[in-house]
Amino acid sequence: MTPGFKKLFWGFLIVNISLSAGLIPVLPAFVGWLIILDALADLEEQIPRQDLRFVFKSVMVLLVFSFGELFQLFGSDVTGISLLLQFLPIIVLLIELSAFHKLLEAVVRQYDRKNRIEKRDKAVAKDKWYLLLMGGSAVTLALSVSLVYVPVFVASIVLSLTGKIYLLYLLYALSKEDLELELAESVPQTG
Amino acid sequence: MKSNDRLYKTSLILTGVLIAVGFAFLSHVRLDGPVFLEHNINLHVTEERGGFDFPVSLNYITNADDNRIVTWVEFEEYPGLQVNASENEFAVLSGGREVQSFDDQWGRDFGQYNVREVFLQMNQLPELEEGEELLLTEATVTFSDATTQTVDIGEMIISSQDTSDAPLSFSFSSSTSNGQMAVTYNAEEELSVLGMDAPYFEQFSDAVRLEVNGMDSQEIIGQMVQEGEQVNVSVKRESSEGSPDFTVFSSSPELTLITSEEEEHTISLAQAIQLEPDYSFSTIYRYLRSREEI
Repeated sequence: MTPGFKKLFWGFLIVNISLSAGLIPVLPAFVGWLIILDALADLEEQIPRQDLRFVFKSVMVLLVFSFGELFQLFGSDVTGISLLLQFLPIIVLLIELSAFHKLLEAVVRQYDRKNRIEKRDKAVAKDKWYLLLMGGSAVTLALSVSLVYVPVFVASIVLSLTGKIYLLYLLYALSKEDLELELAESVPQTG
Repeated sequence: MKSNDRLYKTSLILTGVLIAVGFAFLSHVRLDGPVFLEHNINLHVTEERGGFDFPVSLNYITNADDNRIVTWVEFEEYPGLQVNASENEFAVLSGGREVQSFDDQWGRDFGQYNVREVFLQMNQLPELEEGEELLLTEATVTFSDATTQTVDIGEMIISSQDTSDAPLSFSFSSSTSNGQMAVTYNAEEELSVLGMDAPYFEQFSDAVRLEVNGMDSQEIIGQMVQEGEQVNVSVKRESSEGSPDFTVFSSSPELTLITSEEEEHTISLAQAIQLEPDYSFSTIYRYLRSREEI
């Protein structure tokens, strides 16, 4: 069991569910991002720090954006301030895509280092599916903001939801693996 | 891994380009403020009905994310005209007792634009002599954020009508949501039909057909109606096309009759022919371009 990925799974689940008691959010998104940051610190024991540096920075940015959710508590609608802010959800989506793509890439590198070719190829394929789903969601969402065309918007939501569920599945599957154990297994037995 | 990297970069670049193009597009189509359409409205007020014959509304186009609503309307030409104004039709019908909020507005989204209707109901009848007309062309509109805007509304003509000595008595009326309507009267005495018309009719005659007792409004001229006979006036939509030149029409058909004592009477129907433009993002965009609003 890899506690880092387990924490990542729960953190990402909290980021994407909305539990509130009246106007007060019980589990605001920033709690999820804080858990993800903690999980990344745990992962440093298994994955080289330099491979996670970009992921750390991206999650920090997402944490800052998630505080925007709290503005709604005070009745401030930040989306009306500027035309550019209409595109904010897409930018957030791209940062999230970048963070988790780079995380999956770090896992691929780790498999590569351990010479686990089959596992590496599977992880590359999973990363590709994640990129297709979330990249497709970002492109369709960017189109729908300009066109305000409901079918395109629905497509972007379906793609985004599928991508997020797929990522949760990937994080859960990774939490069941022990990268260090595999490293020990991959070392050729001598004597 | 390289193909994934290519896919990742392609997603970023493509989305980035779409954001840039989208931002330029939204900046181009964005309105500086609400744009009121031109209206051709003809209204009759009668003491019996206690106000306008039918619901009256002013239409305007605004940005889809504009969360203000119109709360008050005053007319430049007649500042004393007491009018309830609301984007919530029920709030107007209830005499303004219902508090309206943005959630209540019934605007229709067309891409980046939202078409709104401001419903009007008079609190107090204007003091008009028989035959006198009140022409309203400019309105000062107050929005929920306390900003005001003086706008050209086209033409709203209000006239008074005394129906007490009319040689026809109202029997019943019906109307459908697609613009068809029929009103039936009983003739109180022997009458001859002099004509059937509606204000601004020449501008939308291709879209609407006026009939009296099943005959075209032109063929009916000179037809006799005996005492006790029914007079059926109907308005039929000839096409589903919207109004020309993006003008909103609200016009009450008028039937002119002459009695055997040579007394002429003009009776306005208690219902109006309502025609609005064909709204879509592209038609609104072209209209706003033609008005140099964008």
